[in-house]
Amino acid sequence: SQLSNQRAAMPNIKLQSSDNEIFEVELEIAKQSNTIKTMLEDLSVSDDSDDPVPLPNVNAAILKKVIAWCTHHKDDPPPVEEDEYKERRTDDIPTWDLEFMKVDQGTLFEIILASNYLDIKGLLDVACKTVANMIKGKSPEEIRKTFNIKCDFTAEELEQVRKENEWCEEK
Amino acid sequence: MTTVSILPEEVVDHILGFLGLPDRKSASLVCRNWLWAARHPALMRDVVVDAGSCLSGAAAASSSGSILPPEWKPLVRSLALGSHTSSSKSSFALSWRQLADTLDGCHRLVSVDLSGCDGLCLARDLLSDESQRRHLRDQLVGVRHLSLAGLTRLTATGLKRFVDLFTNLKSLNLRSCSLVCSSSVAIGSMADASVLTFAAVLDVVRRCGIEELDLSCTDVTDSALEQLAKVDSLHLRGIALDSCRLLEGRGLARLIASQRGSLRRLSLAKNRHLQTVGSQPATADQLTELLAPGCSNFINDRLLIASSSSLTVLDISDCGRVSEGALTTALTAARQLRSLAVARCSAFTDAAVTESLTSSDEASLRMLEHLDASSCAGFTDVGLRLLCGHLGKSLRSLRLAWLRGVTDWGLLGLPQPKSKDGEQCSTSSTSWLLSKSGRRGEQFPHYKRAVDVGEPKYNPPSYNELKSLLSRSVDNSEAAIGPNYSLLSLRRLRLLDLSNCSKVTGIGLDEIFPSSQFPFPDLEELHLQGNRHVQDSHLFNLASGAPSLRQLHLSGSVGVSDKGLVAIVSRCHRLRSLGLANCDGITDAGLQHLAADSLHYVDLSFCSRVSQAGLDQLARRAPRIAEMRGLWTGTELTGN
Repeated sequence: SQLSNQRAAMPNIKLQSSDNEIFEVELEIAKQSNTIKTMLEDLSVSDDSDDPVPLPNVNAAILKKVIAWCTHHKDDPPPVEEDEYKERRTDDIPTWDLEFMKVDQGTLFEIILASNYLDIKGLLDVACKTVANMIKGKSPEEIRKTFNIKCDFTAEELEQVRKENEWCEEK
Repeated sequence: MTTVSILPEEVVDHILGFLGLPDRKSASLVCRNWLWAARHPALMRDVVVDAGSCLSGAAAASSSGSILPPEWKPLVRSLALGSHTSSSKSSFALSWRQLADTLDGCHRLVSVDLSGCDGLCLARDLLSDESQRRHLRDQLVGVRHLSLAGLTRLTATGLKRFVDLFTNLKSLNLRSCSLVCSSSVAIGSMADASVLTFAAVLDVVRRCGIEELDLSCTDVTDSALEQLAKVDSLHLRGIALDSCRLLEGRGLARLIASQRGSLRRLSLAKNRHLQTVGSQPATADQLTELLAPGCSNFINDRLLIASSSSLTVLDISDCGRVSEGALTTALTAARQLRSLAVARCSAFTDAAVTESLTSSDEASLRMLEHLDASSCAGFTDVGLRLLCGHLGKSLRSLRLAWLRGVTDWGLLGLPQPKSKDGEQCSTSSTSWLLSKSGRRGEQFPHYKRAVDVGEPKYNPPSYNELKSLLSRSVDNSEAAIGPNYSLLSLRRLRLLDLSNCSKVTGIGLDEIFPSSQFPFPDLEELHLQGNRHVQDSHLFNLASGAPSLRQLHLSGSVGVSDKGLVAIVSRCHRLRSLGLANCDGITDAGLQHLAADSLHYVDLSFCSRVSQAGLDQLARRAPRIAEMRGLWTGTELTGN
């Protein structure tokens, strides 16, 4: 019972980044990550709660951003399973998140990777929507320029893809 | 630096999942990894693969072999082999051998569209090999939708043959088939082999448990529908009966009554003779989609009010009998409505819009995404401002064609000032707002009268006047004026139709197509035909602000020249349709730039400075243009 008292008083957990920095966060905030949530349940880490949870795929700079996002969104309702036939919007990003996503492309992609690994659906969606908005309305060449992608198609292949795209129509 | 290439394929899929098909098509051309992501099966959900268009090539010549490349088969969910886009000749020639080879391996198929493949009905080899049929049937268990629309030679035997391949069919489209309902046709093998009897349709409906049936453009009769209503265990979710010339209403009423528990979608377009039968308003209170354009004898006030609260889609264009009061009541109750078409309905007025948007129910009309208010004489600036103010977050398409009451003032969220002689113009807001109190429930005759009185003189705003009005902050929300009530607040617009709005002039167009911060970044379809005020400068701004533009209709825009055309064609790389009839500023030199890959339709009729030689050259250089109109071109060149 002493242990449970202690837990109620201090519901914090420690997260360790890939570059060995330790972050202490409220348990409820950390649990927005399904990966961390499952880890805690599976390993019952809470018994010796001083050990930090190792997150070898996320560096300190990105983990800091992720924690900031989760802290701001800690009172959000749990994400609903989207109707798969419903058109998905990209113009509904909240103002705070729009500001939050004003980072360089490298950071943005690392946030996406981290939220994908940590399984934080809300953050993954909002980051992916940000990238989707960067693609919207652009020609293939403009997209390549935006993301610095090399075209690895031959001219014949491009023509073939273009031709096949002609077959596809919106329902 | 970390680049996009570090993202795993499933994340790229997720990103592309937020984009529509045109954007995904662009993405597929970026690089190999993105091509695979863009063609992910999960993203093919909203895509119809129109294999009919691949038929036109070499595949059409041979009578066997799959039309689809093998790598496409596991992707396809909706397959169209019919003629709805390509030339009908090639789809007519589709053989059973080709059909079987194409369907073989498409194990994700949900929907098969064979419309217009009439050749299949003539063929003798209706896949008679039972083992082959079984093999195909096993792969097609997922197919729920089958369209045999336009198979005019389809017989009862043929229908059975088709349906036999699909064990889980729920929806059947027999539009424009030669349906025979007359009971005088002897039921028997002779008739089955020569015509499509209604008895055969009934049999399929009963055996498969069909939930969606399309019998549009057939000679289906009321007594046939009565027979359908009698089918045990029938649970129709949707029925389409557009342009059924023999329908009078009795059978439909019976059918609707019998399907009370299940029927959600009812499509009855262009049935002028259709009447509501009996006293009950067709028990339409559970319908979610009611499409009845041109059914002026069917759509009445009672029906409309009874059905409005559950509707998501309502089309009552050309239904003249609906009263303004009933439409107002219906719109006020419409909390779910996403699409509303009221073209040429005199009942759709400023008063109806104002009543429903300012009613105590704050959810009324707030879900509206699509509105067609073309030629509604009583809908003017006043109603438009309210729509813009309340529906900025939802509205995606807005049709305002032929509205003489919509002016520059209204587009910009401003009231039209009094004309010089002190009289109020018909489109001014204040007099009506003042007279509104206590009018609830009446027939609101005010507007029709104001419009009938005659055309008041229109004074477009002057540039200076406009600037001072726009810069002034308006806090009088009661009057519903100001920037929040202008067209510019409809940021999600994909379709805008301002064609033939004679009181939208250059100054209004300058403001809605500004050079900086284009207000409609998602715009895909723009209709400005019949507007003499469109200038090259508007096209420059449009070209740089609306990269997703796919349809642009500018017919009659005398102020547009080659320069504007070049700007549009070079920036809007998804442009499919371009209407330039009567654009005298367009010349052969401008056509040189029209060879864009995406362009499928061009109308250059009556362009006096375009020559036949210029058209011929364009046709040679841009073989993808499927339809090119060029009537009476070159009058100036060939004439005097």
